[in-house]
Amino acid sequence: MLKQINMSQSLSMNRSMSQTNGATLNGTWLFIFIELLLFAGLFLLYGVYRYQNQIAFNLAATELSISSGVINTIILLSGSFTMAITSISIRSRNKMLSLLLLITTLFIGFMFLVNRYFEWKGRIEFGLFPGSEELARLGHGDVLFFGLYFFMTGLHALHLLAGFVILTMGTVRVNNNTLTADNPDFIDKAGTYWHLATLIWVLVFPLFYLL
Amino acid sequence: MDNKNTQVGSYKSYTLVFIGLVILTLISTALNNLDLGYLNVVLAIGVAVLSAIIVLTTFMRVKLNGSFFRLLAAGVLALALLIFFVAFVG
Repeated sequence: MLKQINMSQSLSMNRSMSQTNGATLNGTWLFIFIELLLFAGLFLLYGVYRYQNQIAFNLAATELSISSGVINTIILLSGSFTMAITSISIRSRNKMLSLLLLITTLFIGFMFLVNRYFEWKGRIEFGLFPGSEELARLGHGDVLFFGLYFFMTGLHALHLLAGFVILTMGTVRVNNNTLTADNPDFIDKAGTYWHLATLIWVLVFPLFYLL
Repeated sequence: MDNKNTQVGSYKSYTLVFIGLVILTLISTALNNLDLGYLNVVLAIGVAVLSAIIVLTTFMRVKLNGSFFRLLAAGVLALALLIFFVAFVG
């Protein structure tokens, strides 16, 4: 029996011969780093704007619904959870469960976007959107806060939409048996990307809703 | 080529991690209702960073050992502290 030697370097930089203990370094991770860098820039922007407008940012945050934010966070965490256990179910050759979990993850992501829609709708109805007169009247600090809010949550929602496409591809492949326990990499990579979206949200949530 | 040998967690471990993350979120939100001055900021961001690290190490299975990653972690920490101090301490 040919022993398959795994020559890929794990992110821990240990050369493992037959088993990787962690995620392997591949293009997906390069993409993850790039996206994190993008959001890091936005966090830095938030930091500077907040420093310049401490009080305005404090007050503007009260315009956002904390419960909506908490619900969104829990929604996204459960989506990551279902995605994570898909990695297990695909390896135990449980096609039905894998399909169910992938579709559940998609549904959960959809719920997040629905919630995002209603949140945005609420702010827009109050006149709190980039370019509105109401916002301009409130002052520069509020303009910056809501500009950042819409941009960062919007960019995050775009990432989720891209995740939808990837997950749909995964679901189709699991369904027509081109993605099985013999080649589960796609699920791992799709999962990594999806967890990135969760990770970003977990960091964005306190900055806009709690503080 | 594909990593079917990659170690993944167990149903139980992922479930526990998920529950832990939800509890962390609720704790962070609850703490926000109290008025603790500067601690509010420290705790909120601290819990967020902790949650992020938990997601990274369990769901994304990033193993952060080795000198390269110590350097990376130090860099990220420096950036995070910079943002934190600029934003909230001034």
